[in-house]
Amino acid sequence: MKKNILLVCGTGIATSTVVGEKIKEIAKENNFDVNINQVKVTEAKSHLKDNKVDLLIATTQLPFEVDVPYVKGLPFISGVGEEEVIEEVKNILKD
Amino acid sequence: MKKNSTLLNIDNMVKKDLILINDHSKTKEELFKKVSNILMKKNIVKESYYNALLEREAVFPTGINTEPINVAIPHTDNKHIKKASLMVVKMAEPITFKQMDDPNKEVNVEVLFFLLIDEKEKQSKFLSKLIMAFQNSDFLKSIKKSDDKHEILNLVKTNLQ
Repeated sequence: MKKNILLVCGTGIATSTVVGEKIKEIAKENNFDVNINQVKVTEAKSHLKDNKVDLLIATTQLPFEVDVPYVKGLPFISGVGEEEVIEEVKNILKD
Repeated sequence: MKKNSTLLNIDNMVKKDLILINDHSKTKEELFKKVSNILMKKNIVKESYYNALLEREAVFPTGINTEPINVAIPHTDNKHIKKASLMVVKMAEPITFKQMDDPNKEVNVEVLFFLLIDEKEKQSKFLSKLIMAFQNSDFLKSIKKSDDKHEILNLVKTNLQ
């Protein structure tokens, strides 16, 4: 089943784009069917209200609580702890 | 075809005159003002860029802990950008930024990449390559060591190919 991934960053343009490229790679390698959306953190809440989201990845701090699977995005940018978050993403997407 | 245009973009985006070395700014405001003035003179950003950049940095900081050499990637909405570019600044002394994933934490930044993005679809590969280069600690170390704009330009370009 196609999984909906929401990428969140401050402007919805830079770091979420980079995370998106990496998620596409992970999806390709593991044959995951994904649909990726990118939003600014200020738009995230309303997107979550109106759309089904199976995985949320944010490179900024989220100013609200989330009730969907959530993975920190900064490790994809800094490289620190990246392997762990890749595993988390795989675990969420494989079901 | 697409691949070719991405490669061409790099030469258009990264230029020697958009590299500042051993900058002595003491605060983000001072540095952002300096960078904004340079970019405005080159017709790369609109007048609104400085305030937008400062505001965005206050709400969503861009310092990243990429130890041992930490970076920041200041950027703002694409509506303030006229021409896609990249500005690279190497500080003489580290400058304090707040961390992107936790604004309560500070990070001492030595190298800054001002991302001047006009269309995210066009520059996504470029951004990914640049940011992936941060994970190669030799890349940042070499930039820190260098006092030659030409050398830094080549380092950046090589890592973006």
